[in-house]
Amino acid sequence: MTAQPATTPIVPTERDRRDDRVGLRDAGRQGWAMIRHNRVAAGAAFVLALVFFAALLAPLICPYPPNQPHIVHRLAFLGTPGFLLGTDGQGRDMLSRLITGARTSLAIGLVPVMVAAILGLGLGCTAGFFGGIGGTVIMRLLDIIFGLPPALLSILIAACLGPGLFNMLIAMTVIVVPLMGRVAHQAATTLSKLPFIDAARASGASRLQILLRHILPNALPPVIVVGTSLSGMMIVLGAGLSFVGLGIQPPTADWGRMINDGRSVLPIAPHVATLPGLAIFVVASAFSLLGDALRDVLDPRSSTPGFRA
Amino acid sequence: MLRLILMRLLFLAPVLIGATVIVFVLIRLAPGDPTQTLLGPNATEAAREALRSELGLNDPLHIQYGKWLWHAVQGDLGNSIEMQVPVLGIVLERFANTLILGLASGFVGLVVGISVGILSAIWKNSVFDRAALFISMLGVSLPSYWLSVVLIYVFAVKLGWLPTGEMYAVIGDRSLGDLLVHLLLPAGSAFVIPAALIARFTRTLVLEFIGQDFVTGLRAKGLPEWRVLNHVLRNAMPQIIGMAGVQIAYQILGQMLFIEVVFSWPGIGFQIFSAVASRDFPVIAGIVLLASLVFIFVNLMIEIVAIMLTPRARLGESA
Amino acid sequence: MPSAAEAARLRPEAVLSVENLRTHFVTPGKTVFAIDGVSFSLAAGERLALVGESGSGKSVTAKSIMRLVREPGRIVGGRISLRGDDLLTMSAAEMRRIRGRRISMIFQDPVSYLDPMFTAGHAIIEVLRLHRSASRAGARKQAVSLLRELKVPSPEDVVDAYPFQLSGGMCQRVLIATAIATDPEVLIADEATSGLDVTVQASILRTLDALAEKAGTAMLITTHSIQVVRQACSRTIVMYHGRIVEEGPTSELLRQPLHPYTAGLLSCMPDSYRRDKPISAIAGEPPVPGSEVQGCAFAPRCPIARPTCNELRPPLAEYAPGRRAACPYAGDVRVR
Repeated sequence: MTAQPATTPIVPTERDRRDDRVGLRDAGRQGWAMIRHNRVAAGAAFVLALVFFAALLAPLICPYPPNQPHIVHRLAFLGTPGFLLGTDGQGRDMLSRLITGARTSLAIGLVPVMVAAILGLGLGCTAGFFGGIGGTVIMRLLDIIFGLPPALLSILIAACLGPGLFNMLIAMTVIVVPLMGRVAHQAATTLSKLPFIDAARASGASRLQILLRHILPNALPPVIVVGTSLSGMMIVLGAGLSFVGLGIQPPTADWGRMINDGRSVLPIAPHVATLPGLAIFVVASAFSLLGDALRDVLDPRSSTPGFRA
Repeated sequence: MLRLILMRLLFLAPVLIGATVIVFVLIRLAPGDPTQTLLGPNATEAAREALRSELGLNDPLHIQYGKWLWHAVQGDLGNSIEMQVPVLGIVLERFANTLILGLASGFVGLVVGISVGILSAIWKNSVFDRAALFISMLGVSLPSYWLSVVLIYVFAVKLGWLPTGEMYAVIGDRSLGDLLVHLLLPAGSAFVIPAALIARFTRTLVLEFIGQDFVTGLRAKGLPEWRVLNHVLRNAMPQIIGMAGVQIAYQILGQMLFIEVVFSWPGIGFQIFSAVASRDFPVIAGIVLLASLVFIFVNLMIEIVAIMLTPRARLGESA
Repeated sequence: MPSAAEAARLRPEAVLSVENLRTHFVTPGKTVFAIDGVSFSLAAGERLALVGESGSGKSVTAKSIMRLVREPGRIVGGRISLRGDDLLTMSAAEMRRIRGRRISMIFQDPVSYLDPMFTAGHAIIEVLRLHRSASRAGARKQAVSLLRELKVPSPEDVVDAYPFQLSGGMCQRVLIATAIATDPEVLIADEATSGLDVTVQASILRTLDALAEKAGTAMLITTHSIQVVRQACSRTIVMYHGRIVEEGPTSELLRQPLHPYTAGLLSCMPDSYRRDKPISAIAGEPPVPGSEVQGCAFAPRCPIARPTCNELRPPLAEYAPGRRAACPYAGDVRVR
């Protein structure tokens, strides 16, 4: 019958300050531990690393320049000597195009999400922590964007801004920002109510310092979790936009575009349309699986809002 | 409860208005001069100016917005630049087609998703469960347009069992049977993602509710397991409907675009595709506006239904 | 001296007899011995208290009798007999016919034991329609009259109310109504009054009392509160670490405990009848619930422990008719 009274220290000790950075450093440690133990996650991470380095080193490892046609070998099937994965309608090597296409796909997957994460964190945490009229206004503005069907909105933006990779990235960033903002906002509001924030204030920290040192780092894990899964969805959406002609313009190699190119030769050379789609599926799945595994580690009881573009 | 609905509606007003503003601003941002398309490249500058005044393009922006909105509310969304017919007519007709496809896929996705989810929960950790979980995890990342292409290749090109596209056979009686045959492949591509999401969600929810105390209470009364399951499902329904409804709405307004393009299905997705190609901005604006309106209201409806199904939310806190 | 198990079987009027019940929770790498050889019997109209602290196994015992132990828990041994019917060997379907009809159970935190999607009345009606094939209208009338019997104000309104609209005490009465609707032979109350206000607690206990008198329902009441024991129960069993350490008529047990743990427990508990009594604590910590222990589980903390206590597990021996203790040195201990 021994009682162990739990007391929250009024003045944060050094240990408390260290624990405040649970968000960032612990996330890294836990993430690494998780990857080591969870085979599926490890597999996904491995695939992503592979794709990333392939994209990075594309000019060095492609057997042929991706846009170079070999008319003689048009529509060669898989395993044709010299063209491991065959060629497309214009005789361009599929393997080289796939590797090069990884660049745009990864860019589409990562850039909008990262930019949106930064913007969303900034807006969401500020709104969530400071609250008040300003906070409500910010969130309502984000809600307005959030209230529109995302895929349609991205099409609209891309259509109005014009073709090209840059405009497509803008379009996709815009539709992701509200979601990131909401996740960050939710995290920030929950965090603001925790006792250690009061303790920090009591020891003289300014509100801005608290925001930067305590709120932002601790709101990071859920944002990372959502962002990882979102990257997968963005790759699919971005490729879809290219598929219908809105983003990347020919002759740049892009997986979505390549599927469309392959439609016309589908009966005689199915691999032209199938392989790029498979690539999209694999990479997007890897992101999604990784995101799920990260969620189990970083944010187990989350009920984070989500959408499907 | 009426108050809840009213509050939700109030909440939505700025979103609606904001949607119209966003659409308007984006359309105006678009590069290109309508007078080029309408008068051709050889028209004089004076003629262009006259047309611009007539079209109201020289008015200040907020006046243009006001005029545009005023017309839109009355159902006049302008005329399609390409086809010179009222936008609203085209859009509504196409919308119905998209709805057919969307609801069909949504329905299949719902049924499959809920069934798999429930079975997964009941047979937790079985082979079925593990397989279902893995497939669901992959399913959410599936590019539906890619699946469409694969399905077309297998069933239409190689096996020749099903048509490659369109809503009805070109020559034919446009019967229901014909429609269903044409629906198979597109719906078959579209249902996967919602089914995967719904299955995972249902499984999690059912497991959560089975673990709750009231289930022990039910078993203590001697209820057979199927009746206990009934109770669990009844508890899970509001959330499942909420989630499934939102998913299906997203699907209709998201995936449909790509799938309609692949199958040449005459819906708003296909329409927007050709409108973008021909820079027919009134049509683009009309579609996005209408779709957003429907989207927002469907979300509202689903929220209300979910509230009505939950006694605690319906009656408010008391005692 | 006859063993407890034998003695339990010998009592002729026993409605429920439990012999050597063992329930374990098995996970890969670890087995938790939640209850480890529990034997007792319950007579018609008797109110038996099962007292112990958290982790002692009293809730697990209650749930084991109903075969409601959730995975990874498993009943691994023993015999539970309800007027001759062996509950552990019957099929799941047969057990379901017993639950709610011949043995009923009520729980702690009654609000969360009712399905939030249905009215309180529905809970009672469901039982009546299941076990008594009552019509909907007839069941509703019965539900109302049951609640009225249990002194629930405006029972017509309560029947149509949802659990979140009712207070804890009210919900508990609804659960009791559900439990007695079929006039069961045994009612198990698992911490049914913990978490309720003291006045509500007292009135619930009085209700249970009246039930036992009127219908002759045998009751098993698990609790960690001496007040409840003193108010409601004629006989008491004390549990520690999954085993029974003492048993006897309540008044005798409270006045003159035999087992050192019981004595220590009584010294610890604040006693509103004896304000002048100082509260002391039992030295040491209880063993990790469910862990395997050699010898007497209480020995490490026992003030009168001898070396042999750590080697052999003391059997539950009968010191007088109906008076048992699992300690060879019982009687050497005094309540401070």
